[in-house]
Parts: sequence; C-alpha cells; structure tokens
Amino acid sequence: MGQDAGDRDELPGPTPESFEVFYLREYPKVVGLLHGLLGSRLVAEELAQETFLVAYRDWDRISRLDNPRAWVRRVAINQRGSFLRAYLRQQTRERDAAVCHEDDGIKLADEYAEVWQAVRTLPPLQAQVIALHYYEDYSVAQVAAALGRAPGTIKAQLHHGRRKLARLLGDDTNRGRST
Amino acid sequence: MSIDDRLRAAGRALKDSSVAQVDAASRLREILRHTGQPVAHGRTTTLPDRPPEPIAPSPLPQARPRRTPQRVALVVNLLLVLALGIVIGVAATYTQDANSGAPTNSGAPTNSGAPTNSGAPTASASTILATRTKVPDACVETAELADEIISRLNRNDRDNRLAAMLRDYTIASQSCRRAASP
Repeated sequence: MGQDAGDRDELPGPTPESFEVFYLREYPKVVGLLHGLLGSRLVAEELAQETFLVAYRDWDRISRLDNPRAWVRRVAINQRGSFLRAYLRQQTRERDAAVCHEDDGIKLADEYAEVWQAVRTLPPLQAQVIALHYYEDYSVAQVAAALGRAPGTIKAQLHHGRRKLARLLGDDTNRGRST
Repeated sequence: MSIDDRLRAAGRALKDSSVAQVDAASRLREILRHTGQPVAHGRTTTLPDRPPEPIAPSPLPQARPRRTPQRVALVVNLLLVLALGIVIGVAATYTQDANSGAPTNSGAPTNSGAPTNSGAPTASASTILATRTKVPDACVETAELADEIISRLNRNDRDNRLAAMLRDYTIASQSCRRAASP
C-alpha cells in the first residue's frame, strides 16, 4: 500500500510546519482512524478536535517533536480509550451501541464498513493495533512506539486480531500470518 | 481475497473517505476562533470566507482572558495594603517620636489619626520610663509567683504546694494593686 508524502513518519523537516497546514492534512485522517475504532463520526470528530486543540495550545513544542503525526494519533487513541473505558463502566455489552447512530458515519462501501464493524468488536488494544497497522500503514515498530508497547506485544496482538477478524469475516486463508 | 488484503483495502477506503468527507477547514476555524491566538509557527493558510458562526463557549479560552485581570487586581490590592501599612507605620513612629520628645504636651489631643496616640498612653509611656526602677516589691513577688504557678501548671504538678502558691499569689496581687495605685 502506498504512502503519500504527508503520511511518512520521517517528518519533520528542519523548519516546523504551521499548525494550519498540519491540521488541514492530518485532521481528516485522525477522524477516520477514530471513526474506524468507534463507528461514530460525531464522536470521532469531537475527539479529534480535542486532540488538535491540545496540540494547538502547545504547538511551539509539539511542532518540534520528531513525529508530531504520531503524537496526535497517540493522544487521540488515548482519548478514545478514556471514552470507551467510561462507557464500558456503564455497559459491558454492546459497547458500540452507544456511539453508533444511523447516518452518523463516514460513508463507506458495505464491504469495508463490514470490516471496520468487525474491527470494533475486537478488544481495544487489538483494534488499535489493527487500525494503526492497516489504516495508518504503521510498521510493527511504529505501532509499538505509538502505543507505548513492546514490539513483541504488537506482533502478538496483530496476529490474534487478524485471526479473529478472519473468523468473523469468514476468511481463513491467512490465519496466523505473521507481519 | 485474504484478510490482510481486505484490511488494507478497508483502511485505504476509510482514509480516502475521511479526507473527502470531513470538513477540516471549518473545524480549524473553530479552533482559531476559540483560542483567538496566533499560531506559533509559519504562515496562516488561506481559508474560504464564511460568515462568522456562533460557537459554543469553550471553558479554557474563556478562562484565559479572565485570569490575567484577576492576577493584576490581586497584585494591585497587595501593593495597596503594603503601601497603606507603611504609611500607617511611618505616621505612628513619627507621632510617637514627637510625643516622647515633648512630654509636657501629653494631655493635648493629637491630629495624626493613628489609633495608638491618645493622650493617656503617651503620658504613661513617659511615666514608665521614669519609674521602671521603682516597681513595688509586692508586684515583683506577684510576677515571680505567677511564673512559678504557670510552670507548675505546665508540668501538671497539682499539689498542696500549688494551692498555697495560688493563695500567696492572690494576696501578693492585691498588695501589688494597692501599691501601684496612686
């Protein structure tokens, strides 16, 4: 899968880019990532906006980080984790029911929507690993860095996540495939 | 199609759809309008003109402009209290010096406004300086007994000796008052 220039993690150049340029490029992608994990565009947009607001307030520092892209994704995912944890305290089952509303989504072809629906049934860490790996094209090392976990843990989660998804989606051709 | 390929295709489709469907410009305008601050680096991207929209108040941006005036007011108040204290202190010292330098004027009312400068205290101040060596013996004894009683009470020595000392103290105190009264 190809990567466009804005997706590369070798950013930034010698001069930090402006917040506006960064926001306009990254905000829709962070919304998409959160939407894949939550299933609600409304919630995804709010969480992404909160994340970018945090970045904006400290942009002088964040723009000079090695990888501001990874920073906003990590913060966004952590916010998403907090949201889900709060929700799971109230309801342990049907966790996505609260954040899934009709017509509250980024429009996707059914075959892709079905895949993301299956991803949302995974345990949170597995879903995050799958999303970062397949949505963001992150390598195992990059996912590990973004989530603050050991690469071995990420590999295992990726393996188990793929197996579960294959079962859920009726595809067993690649069970246990390693990265 | 393998699960790997399906996931990659789903990821790509979601990313493309997000970029196409999410209106980042208007959300960016919200951030810029909420905070009302210039961005730290670089140039501002030109955004399409739109009429200003009412935006729900955000707690932090509202709190920010309030904090600075509150701090300034606090500092100003502290400085005012400090200055007032210095003025009162200087005035009191000046008045006291003036009164002690002219004891014959002790009965006259003062105009300084300081609370400690009534006629009686200035007179007694000069008297104390003159009579410090003439404290009645009964008063000295009273003070010594009081010290001893306090010490025993602190040690919780509540015995007959303490009762006797209290009696002696009462007698000495009465004698002191008699001796000290004009």
